[in-house]
Amino acid sequence: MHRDEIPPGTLYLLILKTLARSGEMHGYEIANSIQRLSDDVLQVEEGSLYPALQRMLIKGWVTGEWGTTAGNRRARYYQLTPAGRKQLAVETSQFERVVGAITRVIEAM
Amino acid sequence: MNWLRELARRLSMLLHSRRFDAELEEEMRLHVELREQEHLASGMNADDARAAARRRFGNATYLKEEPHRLGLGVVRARNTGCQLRYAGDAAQSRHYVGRVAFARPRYRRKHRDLQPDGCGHAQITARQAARPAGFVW
Repeated sequence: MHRDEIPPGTLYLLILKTLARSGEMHGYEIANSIQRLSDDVLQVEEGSLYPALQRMLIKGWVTGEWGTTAGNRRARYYQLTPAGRKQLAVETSQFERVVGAITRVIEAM
Repeated sequence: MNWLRELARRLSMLLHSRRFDAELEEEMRLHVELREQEHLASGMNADDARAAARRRFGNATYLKEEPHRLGLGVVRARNTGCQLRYAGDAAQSRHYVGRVAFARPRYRRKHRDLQPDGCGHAQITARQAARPAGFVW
């Protein structure tokens, strides 16, 4: 199947939404979850996930707690904060506004 | 006062930068290893699985440095005043990319087009940040 890169500017939205849906996850689980929920269409550029998560930690949108995976490996589990939940609403409405605008342009042609 | 909390988190990361780097590296290593195991489980041989996992992850060295370029580490200046100012810039600007130190002649030669500020640093663009590591932090 052809996979597409995640559109620029939407990585925060996808991470926030994934964490809102699933509670806590480590980076690998977040990448897999986005790919799976998009029916394998969206592929996270995996390396770019971690700088994005670091920025989100700094902004206070997520917290990161170290825990143990099912395979007994140490991993940092990310969880949404109340500020992250607010940001999710902001990012979602921004995305919908842009998609709506693009759709109107396409349909007008 | 979200920006104040953000500033505090940036400073905390700066103070614990060694631990921060080690944790980031540990996370990235785990990710590549889990992807490699997934490829092995799907029948790939060991060499191909490792190569595919690394290819998909991208340039780990560059990515490990990226948070520093984006404002976590750029506050490393020569005195506290500069540190606080840079951290403030980084907290308030979405376009903040990084700084170069002008104290060293090598950097002055490399970035002749930039004007250093009072702390001996200059703000750089994304394109300039893409120059080889070692010129930017």
